Amino acid sequence: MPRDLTALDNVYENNLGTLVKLCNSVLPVQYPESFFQELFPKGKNAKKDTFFAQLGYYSEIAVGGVKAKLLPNKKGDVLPQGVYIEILVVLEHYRGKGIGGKLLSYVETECKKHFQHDIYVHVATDNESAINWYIKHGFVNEGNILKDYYKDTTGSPDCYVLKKHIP
Amino acid sequence: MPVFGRSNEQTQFLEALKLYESKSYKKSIKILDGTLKKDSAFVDALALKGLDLLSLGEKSDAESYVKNALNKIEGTTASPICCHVLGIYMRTTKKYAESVKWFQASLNNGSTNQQIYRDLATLQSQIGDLKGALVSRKKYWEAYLGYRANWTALAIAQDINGEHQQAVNTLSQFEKLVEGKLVKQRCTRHNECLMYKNEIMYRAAGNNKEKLQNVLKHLNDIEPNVYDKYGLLEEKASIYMKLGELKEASKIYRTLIKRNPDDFRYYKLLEVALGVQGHIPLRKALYEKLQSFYPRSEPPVFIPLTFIEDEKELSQKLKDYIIPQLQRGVPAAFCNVKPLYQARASVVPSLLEQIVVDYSLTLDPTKEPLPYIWTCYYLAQHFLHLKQFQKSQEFIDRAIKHTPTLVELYIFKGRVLKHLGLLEEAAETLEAGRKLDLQDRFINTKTVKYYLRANNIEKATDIASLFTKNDDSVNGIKDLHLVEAAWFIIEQAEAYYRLYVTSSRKLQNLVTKAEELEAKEDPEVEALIRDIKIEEWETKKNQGLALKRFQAISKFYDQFEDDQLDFHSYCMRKGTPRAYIDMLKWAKTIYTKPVYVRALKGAFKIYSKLHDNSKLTEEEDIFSRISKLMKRHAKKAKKETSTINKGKNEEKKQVLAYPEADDEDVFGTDLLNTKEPLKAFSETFYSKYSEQVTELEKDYPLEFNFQYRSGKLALCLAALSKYTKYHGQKCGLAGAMAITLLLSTKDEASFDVIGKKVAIKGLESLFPELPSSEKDKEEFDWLNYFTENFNGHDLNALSFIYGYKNLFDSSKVKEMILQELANCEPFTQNAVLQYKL
Repeated sequence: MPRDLTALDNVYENNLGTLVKLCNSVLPVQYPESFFQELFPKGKNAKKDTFFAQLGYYSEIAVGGVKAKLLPNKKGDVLPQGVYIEILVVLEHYRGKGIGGKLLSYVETECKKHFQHDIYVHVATDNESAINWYIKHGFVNEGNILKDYYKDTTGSPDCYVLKKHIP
Repeated sequence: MPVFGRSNEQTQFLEALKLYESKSYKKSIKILDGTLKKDSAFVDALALKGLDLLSLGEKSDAESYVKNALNKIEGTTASPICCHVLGIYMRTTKKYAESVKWFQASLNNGSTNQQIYRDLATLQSQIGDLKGALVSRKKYWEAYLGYRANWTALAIAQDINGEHQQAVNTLSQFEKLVEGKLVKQRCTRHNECLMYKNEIMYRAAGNNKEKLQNVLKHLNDIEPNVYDKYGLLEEKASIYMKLGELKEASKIYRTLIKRNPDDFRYYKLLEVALGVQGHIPLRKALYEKLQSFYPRSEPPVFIPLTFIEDEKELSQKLKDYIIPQLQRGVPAAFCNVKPLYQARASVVPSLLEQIVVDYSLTLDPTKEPLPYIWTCYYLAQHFLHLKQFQKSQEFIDRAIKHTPTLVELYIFKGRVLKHLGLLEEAAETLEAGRKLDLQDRFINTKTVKYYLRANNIEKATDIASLFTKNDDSVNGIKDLHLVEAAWFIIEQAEAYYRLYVTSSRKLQNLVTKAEELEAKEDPEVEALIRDIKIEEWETKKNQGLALKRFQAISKFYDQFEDDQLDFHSYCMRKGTPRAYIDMLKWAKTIYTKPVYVRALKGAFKIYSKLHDNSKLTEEEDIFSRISKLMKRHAKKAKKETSTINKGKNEEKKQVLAYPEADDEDVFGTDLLNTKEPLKAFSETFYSKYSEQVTELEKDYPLEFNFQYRSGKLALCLAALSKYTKYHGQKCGLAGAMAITLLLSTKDEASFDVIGKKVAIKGLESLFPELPSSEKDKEEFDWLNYFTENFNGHDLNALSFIYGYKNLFDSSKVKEMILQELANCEPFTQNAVLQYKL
């Protein structure tokens, strides 16, 4: 069996730029700098949320990445409890090599570690390939469309919410 | 009783000396002060106090005490201890020749301290007094026979002085002494000395066969004790070669190849030993065989590519060589074949283009992503090499679009943009690559370099400072000087120089405009005062900093020179004579190394400008024009000057190169105020270069320009004659220099008559066909003569002529340069247009 060319590694402050580059190349949505910087909170007043972020490598080249956020159960919180995948990207030409799967299973492991049972993700309504990919990986499309969810995008502004239950 | 008193002082002095030795300098000084109060002419105490002060870091006080002592000593008639103290002082202050003098004097005046000989030998080696060093080494060796270091040191000194046989004897004697007593830890030293001895024998043998046989025999004898097997085998092979025993030599080269099948040298030498160099079929057969022995090694596959002539076969071989590399995704694939591109420019590039383009068409970017990007990368490099920038850019963009997270691609794209003359964009591209991984030091320095090329010094400094130690300064400039980061300093110097050219041009325009307004008595001129003041400061600052940085480079090399000092004793102790000899050889060439020469040329541009400016009249000199203007607007000028001065403190922090206390001329403006720029240039740069550079490598046009400004036409002629000796008579620079020299012998030219006569005589014999009788005729078109008789397309020659504005019609020369520039790549065009014309 040939050696596995794919691997995952942490996102560090020094290579955060790689994650930024990947998102901006793959996604039609432009995320602000603060969206990435929040992985490394600085200063007293910085919010200290829990994030799960990884980079996916193919033969030592970074080709994919994930950033997910833990949504803890707080009193009066409107958001559902679980883990929310904010972004999960793989460069176009490196898809179908199992990198996305690895990134997702990383999130699933972290999810279990933090005693959560649901993973959520938002996908633009016109992004069929992504929807199919998530469904293939056990997500369920709950059907409701969020209107005008994405602001700064070149694609569809509307999105579906997909959910995967981890027993 | 003065004798009695002196002896009391003597005891006190000895006590102070002891305190100095135990590093209690302050206590030592206290005692000395007491003695000096009684007898202020006691030179021993004065000298020691100087040394104490020096050790405490009070350089100027120390100097005054030592000077005082020196004034009171007649010649070198002082006590041995006093001389010794002075010797140490001189050594610490790096006046080595003086130090030698005093150490020597200490011994002559009766010192019994044999240790002095060792220090003396070290210093003599440092100043190049080889004979003296030999004597001192011998003395020291006689005093301490029980140390290997002394034997080695003696042998080396003998060897350097050409006493080969004595050196060999010395080493042999010691070998006998240690026979059977060697402990394991000493074996490496022993092996080095054995090899060194053999090397001396080999050098002494020359081409004498009998002697060479002896050397060979010795080599075989020592083989079991020698660790440096490569050195031993290489030496053996070269002896066989010299003896003409090629078969034996070839056997050894084969052994060497077996030990390291990746060293190209051994293959070349094997070819020579086998005598197959000119015979293509034999060479092919040889390498096919070697390839089967060493299938994983590069040379046997690569070397045939350099000589196979049949195009079809070559094409097949190239394909077998390059395609596997692209398949594996070898980033350096292009670099591997680049030597072929250069050596066989007419065949290889076109063949490889076809091979790789064909291969790229079979690639699917999704199924084979890695071969795809590296092939794009290869093709981008290929087309850049052929100067097809458009295509190169297409391929690199394609690769970046495919995999935007690969830093190599950004570096290369930056390079393409640089060649297109888009320096800012190039730097931005590198910056985008750098952001992918901030801890990648390679891309960090590359980005810095690109920003400096784009004259963005501030940004470059910020980025470079990410990797430097910035303890007590706002940025890394100080640290970069401390660690002798020549790559940064030289680029920064050149950036400052470019900024200087730009701002001085701006200043020129502003002043001209202001003068015009002034003449019309237009009140608008007030508004220009501020701009002029700012630009004046910018001009001076950039010029000064450029010179300051160029000088910093010179200091690095002085430091290299100085660093040898420790090795004159260290190498003996560590038993590395061969490395020591190599170091001595290297030290004789340091002032000809590329970076030093670059700094030298950069500095010369500034110094020659300063020299030329000093010859200008008040109406021509920009700064006197400015001060004239300012006089009439004194109030406004004063206000602006004080604003600028306020800003200077902040700027100072940004550019500080050395600890603030040691540097009174942070901006280098004092350097610019030198009264004799040419002398300063010669002292800091040129004399050291001239001493070391070989005749072949010397930059004669620069020598010409330098001597011309010094007013020495005879030496200009000498430079020209040497230049033609190595580069021929027809090349552009030869013509440019010859005509310049001829025109400088005109009657009205301000050179001395003898120099002119020598120049004319010399030109007549060097360039008999040069129409020297025309030199005083106004109407003769020398530029036309130049293009008709010499290579007039040489940009360097045209720039040379352009430098002599008083001799040639500079607008015409400019036109000629512009014409030539049309054929150059954009990068060169911009560089010349912006900073040279």
